[in-house]
Amino acid sequence: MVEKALLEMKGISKAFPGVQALKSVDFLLRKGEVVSLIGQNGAGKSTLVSIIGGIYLQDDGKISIDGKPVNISNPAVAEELGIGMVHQEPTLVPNMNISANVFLNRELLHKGMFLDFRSMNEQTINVLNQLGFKLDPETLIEDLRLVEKEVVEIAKAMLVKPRILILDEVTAPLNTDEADHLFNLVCELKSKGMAIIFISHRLTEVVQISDRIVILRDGRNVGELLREQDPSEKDIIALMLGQNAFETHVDTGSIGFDGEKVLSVANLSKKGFFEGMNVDLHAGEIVGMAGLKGAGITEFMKAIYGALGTDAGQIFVRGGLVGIKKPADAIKHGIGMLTNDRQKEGLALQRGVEENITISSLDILSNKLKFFRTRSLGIQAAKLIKSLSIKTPSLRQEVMNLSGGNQQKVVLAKWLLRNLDFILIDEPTRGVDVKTKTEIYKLLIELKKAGKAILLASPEILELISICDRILVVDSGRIIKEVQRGSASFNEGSILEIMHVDHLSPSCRVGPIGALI
Amino acid sequence: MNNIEIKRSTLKAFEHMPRRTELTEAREIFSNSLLLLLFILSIVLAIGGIFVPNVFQIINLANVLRIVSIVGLVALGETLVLLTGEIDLSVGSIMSLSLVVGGLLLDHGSGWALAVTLMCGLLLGLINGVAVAFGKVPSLIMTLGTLSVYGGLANVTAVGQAKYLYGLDLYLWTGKGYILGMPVPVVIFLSMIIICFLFQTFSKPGRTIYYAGANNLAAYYSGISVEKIKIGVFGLAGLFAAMAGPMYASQTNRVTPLQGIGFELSAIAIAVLGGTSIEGARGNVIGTLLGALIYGFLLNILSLSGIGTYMEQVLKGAMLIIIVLVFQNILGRRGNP
Amino acid sequence: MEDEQAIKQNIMMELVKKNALLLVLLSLVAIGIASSSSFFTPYNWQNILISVSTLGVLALGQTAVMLLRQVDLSVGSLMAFAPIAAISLTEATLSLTGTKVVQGGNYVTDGLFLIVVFTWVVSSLVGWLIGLVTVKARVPSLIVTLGMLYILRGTAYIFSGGHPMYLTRLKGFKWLGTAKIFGFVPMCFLLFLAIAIMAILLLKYTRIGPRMYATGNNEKAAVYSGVNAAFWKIGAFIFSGFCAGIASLIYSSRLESVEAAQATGYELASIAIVVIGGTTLEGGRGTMFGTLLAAIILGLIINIISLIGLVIWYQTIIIGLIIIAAVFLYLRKVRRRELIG
Repeated sequence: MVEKALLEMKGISKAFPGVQALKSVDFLLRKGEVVSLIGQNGAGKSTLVSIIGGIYLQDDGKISIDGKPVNISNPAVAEELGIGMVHQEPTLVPNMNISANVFLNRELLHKGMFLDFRSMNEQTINVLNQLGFKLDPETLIEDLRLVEKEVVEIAKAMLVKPRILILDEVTAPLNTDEADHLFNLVCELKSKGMAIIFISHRLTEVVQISDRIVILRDGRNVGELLREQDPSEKDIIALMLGQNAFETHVDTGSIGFDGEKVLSVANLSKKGFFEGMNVDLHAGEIVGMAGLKGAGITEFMKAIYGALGTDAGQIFVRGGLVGIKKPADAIKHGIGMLTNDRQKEGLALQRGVEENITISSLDILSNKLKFFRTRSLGIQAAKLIKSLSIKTPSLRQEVMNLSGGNQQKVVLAKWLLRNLDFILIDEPTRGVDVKTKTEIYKLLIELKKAGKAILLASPEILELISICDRILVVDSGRIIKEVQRGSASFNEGSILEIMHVDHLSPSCRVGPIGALI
Repeated sequence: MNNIEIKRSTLKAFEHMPRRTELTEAREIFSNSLLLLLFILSIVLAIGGIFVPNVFQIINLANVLRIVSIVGLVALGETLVLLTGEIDLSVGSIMSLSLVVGGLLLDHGSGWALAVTLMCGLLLGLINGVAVAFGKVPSLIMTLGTLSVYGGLANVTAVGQAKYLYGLDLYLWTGKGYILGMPVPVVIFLSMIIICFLFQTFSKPGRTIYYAGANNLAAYYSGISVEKIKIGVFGLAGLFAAMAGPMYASQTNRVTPLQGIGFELSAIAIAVLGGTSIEGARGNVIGTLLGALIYGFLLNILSLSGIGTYMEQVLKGAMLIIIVLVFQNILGRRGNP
Repeated sequence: MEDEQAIKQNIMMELVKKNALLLVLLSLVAIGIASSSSFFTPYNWQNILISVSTLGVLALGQTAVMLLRQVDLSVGSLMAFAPIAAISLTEATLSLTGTKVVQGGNYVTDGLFLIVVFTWVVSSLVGWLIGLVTVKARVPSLIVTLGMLYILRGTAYIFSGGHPMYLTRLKGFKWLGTAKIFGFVPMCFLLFLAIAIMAILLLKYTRIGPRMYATGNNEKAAVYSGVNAAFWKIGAFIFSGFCAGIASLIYSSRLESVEAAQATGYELASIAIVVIGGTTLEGGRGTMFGTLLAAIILGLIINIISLIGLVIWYQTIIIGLIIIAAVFLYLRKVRRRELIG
């Protein structure tokens, strides 16, 4: 028996100035179902769920809930209809506590006027318990970890007892353990009859958790895969790109490297983040770092780069001890870094592509009097745009208008212009679409072949496996194991095992309609 | 294929940033265009000339240009500060205090008085810069505080009296003299504009000002010393305010502790009029030049048509609000304050 | 034992931090007593309480504004503009009934009720106007209120012709400024306390609190939750204007005169109070209670300065230094937390 649809969207179209975001999309959601919505950046996923959430109104098409036509004109209406939405970045008020945030704009009052703190706290605790978390409702948001903030966001959405829950890329900032926790939550909710729309770029988790996978491409619904079909990531990607074959294999060149130790980190420590880190980079190698979110990898890289202070340890470049107290020092010694937040730390979004590429190289492009010809900047920038295939209509195009992948390339170009010998990269393909990902991998391999040393951190083990020569596994601020390419443990499973001993693979083996409570 | 991909990414950007369409791009080009400002200037002069033909009398023109240069110089310093994303409300008080401190040395001759005035302005500006760059005090609060402190110090030092400039020919010359037939303030103002323009376009620190103003953190990660830039611009703002001081004081032949009052208002108004954005990273010095001309002539025309000093004050305040309203909104802006 | 010592020290530090304002207040009282024999006289304390009332009421309004990440630089000028405009309005209204409000040059002789009401109304309306321009026209509040500072001051001069107006002949007007309860506590101080207590209660125990703090601390989150940020921002400016009106009544009633130059620099003093009280420009942090204590602190400082015999300009200097120092210290506290978290 096919369960009647809870939510049905037919022929939804939505246009924004200059682009048709959705073209006559049909979408179906049943009770107790987990449906993942997949697509490249700009395929229309966020637009679709924003329409469900009442943030946008569709230009064309009909939506019905429980068979009855509805008009979701604003978020308040969506709430009434039982639709809860959790956005990608937690939008909470840092200086207020959990309870206040959960009840923001729907505070409970007694005597019609005064805040009823006790009831709000009680209900907050209830909802948090239902979600499997024990938190003191009076904790301030700014004192919470990221996953706890996500939970509060979900609690907010849950408060109105939604029947449909939309999770928009909520696992992007989480590590594997935290994501697992979330998946268990999703299974729980599913078994209680909630319908969940799940948006994510992480295909592995999508495959594990979904009953159905709906793929959007260029604003159209191009197909869906069912759990029964046992879909693989390749299948999903094929539908996403509209091709049949997909190249995941990247030629990594020869294993091994020139052997010359070019960058050494000895005994680097920072209380509370990492301790006794020893890493040697050789010319022409890519070294990967794998670990959970709190492992301290990001902080470690920032410390090498001078953006974070250390308590102990030394850095040697080509055998000579160097003092790096700020990024400018690191750059002088030939080290460049792409952090995991390019919008905040890597680019000036309002400025043009040329400016962002050339900004770190002004001193080498200027003459003795610290003046230079503006034209030479443009030429240099254009060369890099070409060699990295950065898609931009002009040199002056503001970087904010570029896609995530192209933005990442701009940051890379910034360092390539200086011809730096060492590059530190944290999450190289965060928010980058599949096609550009491959391009970036190819670029990194080329850099390696040219003799550069690259230190690469990523939460996606597969990524590390495909391009690194060796992988350092980090846990709680220490390197616990080094895995060489070619050895038996150089595969995703083994590395994940090393990363956490009790790793359980999550998946909901319950069918679309679970036990209703 | 390329264009479509970029438009897709624009879509993704919706969630985090304001929209950009072809219309916004066109507006932007226009707002950057100094042509717009020249256009406004001509309108102002044309309409003003019809109602108050006195405007074009040589004496009046010389006076206006003098005042324009004096206020414009302060506005130039303010422009640099605004470009880095900060603001300086204390330029008026810096002018007052430097004038008064320099005034203490009038007995030793114009040279010393002028030199001390300039050094004082530079120092006061640097104090602002260090507090903002290293102490991380928000520039709004810091310069609000120094507005108070410097102003108070000026009054305390001057003990409520004015110092007269009779016989101090060099000093008076800065405000009333001529170089090659042009009033001294005009020459100095123009030279500073040109120097700043060249510096901004062709030198390394100059180019990085915009980047630092756009994103402090990214500038830091790119190896730029944002601190040095900020200290530098605040220092320059102080220096320029102190430069403008004697020129202004000369007009009334005396130095008083209250002479700088109101300059911050005009400085900000002129900077924004010239296309500089309060949020930083947008604007340039040539715009400030044209903005100063427009502002100066506008006020001149209004005062020639017989409004009183009080009304002038009201109008200055109104102009500030209107200028920011028009230039920040209609000509495109990013995000919220 | 060492641990016990360490724990005791920690508790001490915590107590100091939490009650910093009270400690500062008490220390100032001590300094006052030490610096002048006339400090602890009833007359001096009345002076202190009266200036606390004027500046304090102003600061309550400024707190509301600064909690929402805005600033109101116009309140000083508004304190001059509102009563002057009110007098002109009253003149115009009552002339319809043939009553002369202003006689003998500059003596205001009639229209008490209307003048008081109009002052209130005008100041609140100006606040509303400022709120509108800030929110709807999206001009930064710094600019709007800076411009209004000059506009209001200039207009006050124009309306009053540049001369002060005397209200000595206006029966009942001096009540607010000079009346005392129990012969000792000034009425205006009680008024200040009343408004302060109301503000404290509203912010802490009603919906107003969470919605304002949310709007100030993370406007995006507030809007996503359906909070009407525009409403609260405009409301804060109206409240600020309202407070400026009340402050001007206290002030003018005390001096029994109104002139266009009055209350110059008061906006800075109000910001100083707000900032001492723990509210910074970042928004969403700070309490009305802190402002209350801070108002008393500033009142004490101003009083001590004049008792010592320093010229009034020293007040300006000290106020400026306080603003800078207080923000610097509070920011260090916040920043330290950021580094750890």
